[in-house]
Amino acid sequence: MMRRPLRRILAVARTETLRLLLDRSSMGLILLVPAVQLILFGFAVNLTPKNITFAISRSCGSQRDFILAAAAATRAFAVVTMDHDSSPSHFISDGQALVAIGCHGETFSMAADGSAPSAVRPAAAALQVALLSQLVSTSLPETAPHIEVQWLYNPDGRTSWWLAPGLIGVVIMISMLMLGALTLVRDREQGSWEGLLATPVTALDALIGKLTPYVILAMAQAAVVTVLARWLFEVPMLGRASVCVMAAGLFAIAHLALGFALSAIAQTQIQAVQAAVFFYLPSMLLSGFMFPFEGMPRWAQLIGEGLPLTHFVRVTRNLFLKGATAAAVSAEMWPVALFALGASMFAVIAYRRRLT
Amino acid sequence: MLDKQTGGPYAIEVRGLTKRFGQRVAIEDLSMYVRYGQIQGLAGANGGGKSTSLRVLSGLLAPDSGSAHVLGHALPSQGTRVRQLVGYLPQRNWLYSALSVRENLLFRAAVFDLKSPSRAAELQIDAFGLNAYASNAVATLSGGYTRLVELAAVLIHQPRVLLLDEPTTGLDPAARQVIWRRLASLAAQGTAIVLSTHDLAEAQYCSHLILLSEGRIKVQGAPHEIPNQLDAAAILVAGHQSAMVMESLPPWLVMAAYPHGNSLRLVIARKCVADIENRLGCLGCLTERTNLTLEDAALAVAHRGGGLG
Repeated sequence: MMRRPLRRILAVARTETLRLLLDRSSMGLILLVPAVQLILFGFAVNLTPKNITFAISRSCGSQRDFILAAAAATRAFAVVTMDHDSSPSHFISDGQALVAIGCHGETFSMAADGSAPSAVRPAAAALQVALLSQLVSTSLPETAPHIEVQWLYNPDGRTSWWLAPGLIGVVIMISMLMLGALTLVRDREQGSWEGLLATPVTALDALIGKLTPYVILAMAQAAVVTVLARWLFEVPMLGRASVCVMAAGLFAIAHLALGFALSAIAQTQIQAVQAAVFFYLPSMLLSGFMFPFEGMPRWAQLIGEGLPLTHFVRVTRNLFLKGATAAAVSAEMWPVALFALGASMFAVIAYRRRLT
Repeated sequence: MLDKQTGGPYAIEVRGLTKRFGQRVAIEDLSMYVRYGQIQGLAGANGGGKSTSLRVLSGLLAPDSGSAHVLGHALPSQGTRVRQLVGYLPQRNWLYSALSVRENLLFRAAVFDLKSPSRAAELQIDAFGLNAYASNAVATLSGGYTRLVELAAVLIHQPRVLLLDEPTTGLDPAARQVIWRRLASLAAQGTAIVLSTHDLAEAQYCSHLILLSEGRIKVQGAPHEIPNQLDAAAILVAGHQSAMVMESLPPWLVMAAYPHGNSLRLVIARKCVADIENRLGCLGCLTERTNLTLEDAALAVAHRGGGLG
């Protein structure tokens, strides 16, 4: 015979699933949004600098071909002018180019637009390296050392390979946090929460029952992004896709439980959504999904380590590109499990507070 | 405490219950004893403490002080057990509006751990005459049918105590009669019912009535006895000057005034009747003493000072 709590949980889960299925527009959005985001991010975002406007001063004269060869080697530049005598900084201040170079005898002087560092800085650095490399090989053609770099896991440096795995986490985090945050507060506004509170359904029954359908939905989201990433961008899945989906389930629980707790505390849907945004924006910025984790100050890294997205982004990247084992994934996911446990306890306490 | 009349325990025992929300006192020193088979009414103005009392008794709110036992279980410590045993009907619509009548009933049957939820749901659908609407979403039902479905859901586990917060508000007279017939039938079978109402004509159907004001019991008893417990009287004022009555009398003398056909009905302190009759006679108004109704009593109670003896 089925135990009472299990029957209650199943009843809540069944009801929540039916409500979700009847809300077709929300259901469609939940599955469509990840696909649209992947296509948008995958095709539009490219972290490799390209078409950086480049000016060469007429003062460079005979060295022009030498500079052009170095610029071509970087594949980052589009030359816009070579016929003016302006100083490199004037090319920048006049808005003619983002990077400019001038020559004084054997000396090169380069200027770059620092107001757009994310694209210009790596391009300028690459040009610097290319010039030095060419200088060394032309002045010491026999003895010049040759440095060979072997790029592992993403040999062509394709942004979509780096972005798509992390995007699974971002999509799940935002949608689950929002769904969790709206679940109780929406019920309260519609009146159905009081009906639920007046039944033997406990806080834990409600938490598990209400969130289970969403966990399954999160796993479906992970599967959708994985399939699309493989199909559209040929992102390799060297690890086991099932491990990725399971990890997505745990990651979803962490955010659903947090959303559920926010929902139990919030008085209105707007409050609940604001609290969710307050959590997910720092998560995106400090997790290493958008910006290099290693480049952040120590205190920011410590905050980042406490966020589930940080660990999940590492897990998905390692699974897709490095073929991480289930054991390696588990080792990275325990902080997420800890967060999920803490958030669940917080949610149960917040729910019970409604009964006092 | 045992019921002296039956020798058995009360279904509900409440002693000195107090509940505050911040500085606001919702209920203060509330005591009541409800027998099995009794319909206990709670009436009074908005904010009087009716809904709070029901929410405390259903285990949804913890009181600040006092004691409450429902079916022998102490509140709030045994709130979970109480919620398993009672049927609580909140004031607002609380069903899942997107789901069908049948799904809502199935859900209630399952969370109350009934052996065959689908059979229990079908029984309620039959019992409440909901067959034609069983597959319809609750959101598509009229207010009367929605309340009927809510009552069917509340009764699905056959609770021995029913707590109903304004069960007939917004319903037409026919729908009200359907619900009251069912409540009377349940009471006859031994169910203890506590309900709140604003409708004092309906309050007459209760076997015992409490009039609450600002969280306190002002008067209680059988509905027909309540007017006699108040030191208040009612007079009808007629004549072409009756429209001027309220301007002519000091406000503290009148507990309530409202139209009564072509006359004006005044609820006043009993000791002031002669004085007011004289004042109105000077204005050229005709006055006639009449019996104090339950509505007059409720208005007197709601009036500041309560007009109580």
